[in-house]
Amino acid sequence: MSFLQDVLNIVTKYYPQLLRGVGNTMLLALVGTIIGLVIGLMTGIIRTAPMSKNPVFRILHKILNGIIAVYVEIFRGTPMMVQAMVIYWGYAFATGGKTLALIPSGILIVSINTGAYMAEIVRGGIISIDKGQFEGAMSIGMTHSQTMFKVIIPQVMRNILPSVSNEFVINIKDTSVLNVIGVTELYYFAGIIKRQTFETFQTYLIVCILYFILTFTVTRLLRLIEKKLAGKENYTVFGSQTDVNAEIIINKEA
Amino acid sequence: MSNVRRILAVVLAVVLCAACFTACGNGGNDSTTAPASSGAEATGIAAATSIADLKGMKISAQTGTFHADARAQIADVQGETYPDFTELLTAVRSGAIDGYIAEEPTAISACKKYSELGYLRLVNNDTGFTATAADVGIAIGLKKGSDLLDKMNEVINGITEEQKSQLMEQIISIKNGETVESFVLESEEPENPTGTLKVAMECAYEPYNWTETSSDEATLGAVPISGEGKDGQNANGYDVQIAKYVANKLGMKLEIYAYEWDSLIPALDSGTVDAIVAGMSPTEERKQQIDFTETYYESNLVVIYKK
Repeated sequence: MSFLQDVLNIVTKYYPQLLRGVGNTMLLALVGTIIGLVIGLMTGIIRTAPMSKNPVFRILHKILNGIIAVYVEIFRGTPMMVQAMVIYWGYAFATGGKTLALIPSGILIVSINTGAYMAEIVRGGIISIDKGQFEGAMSIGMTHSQTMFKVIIPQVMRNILPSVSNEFVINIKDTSVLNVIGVTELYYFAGIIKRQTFETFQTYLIVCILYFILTFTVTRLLRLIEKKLAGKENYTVFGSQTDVNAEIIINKEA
Repeated sequence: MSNVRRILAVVLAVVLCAACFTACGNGGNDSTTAPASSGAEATGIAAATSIADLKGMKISAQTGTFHADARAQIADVQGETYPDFTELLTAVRSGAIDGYIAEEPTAISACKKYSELGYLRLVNNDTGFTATAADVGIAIGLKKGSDLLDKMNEVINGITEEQKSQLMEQIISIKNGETVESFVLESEEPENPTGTLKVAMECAYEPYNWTETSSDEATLGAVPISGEGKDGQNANGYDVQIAKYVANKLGMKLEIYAYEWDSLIPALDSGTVDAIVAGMSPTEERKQQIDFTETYYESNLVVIYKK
């Protein structure tokens, strides 16, 4: 029983720190995922755009594609912890001792890291859209950007939502590595509490439960949004506008 | 072109596999010898009187410290080093390791807190670790060529041996919840500071430096930790008091920053902080990167173990 008492003592004594940690973790993960998604969408659109006939634009497009490819490979291929150290201390060395503000630099690191993954997720989403959709849009005279924003992206968003929520959950957990540069997220406070109480297992058990609550709630919420986007279970297609009896009821398969 | 790529991929894969296997191989060798020796002698650690008696035991130390170098002097040593000081204490209390190398003040503090712990003094170079004076002393780290060096040396040379040991005793008392009226090292904060002295430490290495989260319970002489998101956190300990004393004597305002052990030297090198006061020993390797003042504390190496 003394074990439970220890756990309870830590919670009652350190709840302000724990809550602040939870707040910062969610801030980093949420903003990071949203900015990452925007980066992903932009790179996805650029990478799937058809090559221009104008030779200048053509070269520019190729250079841009190259930059995106390098960005994706580097940030997807190195651990976020290492990126954090390189960016934070690299900046300090480059500017002769100035340091980046911690929360913004944390958001920056999470965003560019997530962006690299999102770029691939979005590219996959765009490729998965049937070619007929592009052809249909082109045939009624839409430009590439019109096709993308009015026809393709809305469908892509629905298709990639499970992957995006996956990325969000991963970010909630992975922001813990930012403690190496001292970002005051949940894991950082766990370290401080652990060093004060010397109760390593009890402290991390609490933090473990907190992380689970965060990720589980987020997963459920995003599942709800997914259902909303998928539309109603049953809907009616009217076969004829003059004959009411001609209506067709569609029951969606589960 | 595609053939070159294919060959390159195969070569890379082979190299990676080979690297993995050699690493596994070493690990395997270690673990085969471990149970034979450490199991039998695990209870005998309290009776050990010299480094030779620790042969084959699971003795740990904090990664990247000279304790880890001293650990390597134990013949056939088992176990691993841990990055965090608290993990060592948890490991030894849980029985995962037989003991760990620390400095005497750390051991006194830990043993006062947990009655199940004891410690061995391994001081003498005949029976204990071979440690130079530079290893067991701790000093303030400064950027190469810093003009603070001479001024700080003057201040540190003015502290007597007696004051050092008394201050350490007071710090350990404070950490154990006893009240101390005033420190033996007294100094006035300058009214018109001539500048700011930015000091880096782990704030996680009792009794040299530690963190306090609640400002209501701040101990005597605690200094707020500077930096974004650190409000409400205070640092205290032997290093903090020394840093405060030195800053006051130099007529500067003290600011304390908390960094991971491995980030301390980058923080100094990049100019983010002016000095490291973190229980750091002036070892030869570190001297190549940064300058050190005279030592402000000398301690003995010990091995903390579970009774």
